[in-house]
Amino acid sequence: MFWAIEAVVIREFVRFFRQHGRLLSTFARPLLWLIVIGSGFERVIPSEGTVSYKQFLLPGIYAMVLLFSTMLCALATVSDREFGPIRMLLIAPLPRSVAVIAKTISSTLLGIFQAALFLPLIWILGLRPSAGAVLELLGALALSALVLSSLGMVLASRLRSIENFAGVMNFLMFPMFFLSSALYPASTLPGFLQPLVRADPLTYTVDLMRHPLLRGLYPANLSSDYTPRFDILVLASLSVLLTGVAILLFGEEDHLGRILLTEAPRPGRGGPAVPPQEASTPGIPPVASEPAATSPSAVEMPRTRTRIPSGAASGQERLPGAPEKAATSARPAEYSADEGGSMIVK
Amino acid sequence: MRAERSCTARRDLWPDDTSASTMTVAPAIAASGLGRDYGSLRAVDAIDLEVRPGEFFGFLGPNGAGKTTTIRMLTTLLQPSRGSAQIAGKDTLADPLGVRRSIGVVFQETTLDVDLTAQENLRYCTRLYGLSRSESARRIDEVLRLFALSDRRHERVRTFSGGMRRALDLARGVLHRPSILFLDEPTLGLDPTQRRRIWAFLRRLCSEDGTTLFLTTHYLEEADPCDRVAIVDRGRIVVVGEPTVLKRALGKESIELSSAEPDALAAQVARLTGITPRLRNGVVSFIVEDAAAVMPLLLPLTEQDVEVRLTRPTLEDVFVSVTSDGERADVLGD
Repeated sequence: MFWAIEAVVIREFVRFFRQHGRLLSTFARPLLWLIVIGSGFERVIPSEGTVSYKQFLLPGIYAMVLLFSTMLCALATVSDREFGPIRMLLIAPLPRSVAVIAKTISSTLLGIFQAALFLPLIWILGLRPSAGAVLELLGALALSALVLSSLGMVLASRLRSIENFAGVMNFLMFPMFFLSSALYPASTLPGFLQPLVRADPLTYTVDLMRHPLLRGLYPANLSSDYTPRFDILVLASLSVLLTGVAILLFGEEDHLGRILLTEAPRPGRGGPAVPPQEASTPGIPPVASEPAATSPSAVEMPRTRTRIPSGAASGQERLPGAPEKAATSARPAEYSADEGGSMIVK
Repeated sequence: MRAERSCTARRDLWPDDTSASTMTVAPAIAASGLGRDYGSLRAVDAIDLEVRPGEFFGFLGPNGAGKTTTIRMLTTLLQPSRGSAQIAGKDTLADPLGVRRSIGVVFQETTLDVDLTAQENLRYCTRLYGLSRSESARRIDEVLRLFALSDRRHERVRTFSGGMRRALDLARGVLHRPSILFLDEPTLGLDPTQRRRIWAFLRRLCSEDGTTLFLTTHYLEEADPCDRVAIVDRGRIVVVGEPTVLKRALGKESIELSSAEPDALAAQVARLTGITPRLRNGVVSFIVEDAAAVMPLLLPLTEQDVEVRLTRPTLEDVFVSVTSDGERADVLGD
């Protein structure tokens, strides 16, 4: 089991470093937010006490790094499924739960790694936390990465294609980010939004990270809303819960198999729900009713196959002179059927 | 360590070689009444099947016959709606891990990660199977050499041609030395040279290592070396047997005629011989017991520019005669 998890983690990291665009955006996006949004808001929101707006924003930047990192990992899982590599994992002798946990762990580690790249910002922005506080922050990063990774896996289990990612970004990631206290204290948001604020996992991750960074510095109205103990409790139980849900969702072998069926029939989507031959010969089994032979020498040939020839003669023929080999390879077109759907058309 | 275990288990399970009688040896693959629906669509009706250890088994059928769905059920990736299947004596539902430990699967579509190199892809797999580092390095060397990919091992799969990807996929499938190998259209989209190479490898795998092979293919002439083939149509097996026996059952000789106007030719042949020939790919053909008796009837055709060939029935003839595709060529009825 351990080797399998290690293999999944190594693969995710190798992929991360190979995808230069992803690498670049990892650095660019948070810095852009910090510099542009940070500087802009700093003019509007007066510094409170000894805390500058950028210092206030820093935990939010970490949350953003984690959010994007874990959601991109979830996206990678979806694309793994879409383009095939997930089959290597599915066909290996591993329980589905281990596969899900391996993916969650690799997403968590990748998130921690990316957030850790921004640790120097603490000192650049003039904060001077104690060593203990830095460790506390690392712990908070790890727990937050875990929560978001398991959330990502739940999403990945249900997303069919990477195209849906835009939806995730607009309807999940940005609301999560804006509802958390990343940019401004969420307590200042109107009352009808407060239930959403409290339902947002990012609220607790930002809160938990803000504690060690701004301890002793923050004035009352910028203070964290919850105690670290409460944040940890919420995040830990949420991780367990979401990982469990992801295992359940991914764990149905059937569901997974179904996702794999890229060319398989999807009832109700194009094509008749009932195969045409069943519709045309109700109640009659489509093939000769002899039991299938299993011993090697037994040969069974349905002697008579009374069938109404379908369609005009010329309708099924190929171009004259087509070479035999080309014809065999072109067979799919001849049957005019995708794996399932309608089997004999024309 | 796990691999060693599976190897010994393989020996214990099947002490006799493939030549042993079917009765005494536990089947490598057994399915009874295996079926799968998608909603109201019946993809696989009921498959009954028994494949002996070390057998080279071809699973043929038109597109949509349920081949891929069957393979997915046999390899634990899809739950059957009804029936059951045992692979290497283990039930696909009760012990999916046991099944997955004994099998290798080469899917119709690629499984490779194109952002990783050939070697990284293979290493990922060996680690998933729990092979030790040294063992995994040894096997990776071995399969890369076998498929002539050694010099490309550090290149990303993205740069590989379709044939190389396919070969690498196959290498991945046999990396952990499965006792049963499932292949869904292993040679799809390959050029003839690549196809020959892969088939030579598969035959050797079967004859030398005693690996059970279960494969689907569209290239029917390739299924000739199979020990047995099953032809499926509409989710059921319509015929099972050795290719030679199946072909013999069909008739002794196949007469093929071709000309610039196949339609007219087919009509002429029907008029001259009384047999409705099959018209496929511009070739008019029919199968007879004794060609010598029929050939004289075709003499009038020699005045035209007609090419006549006398051949043995092929597996394709068998296929066409038993599947729904063969409705216009009822050679069996005659």
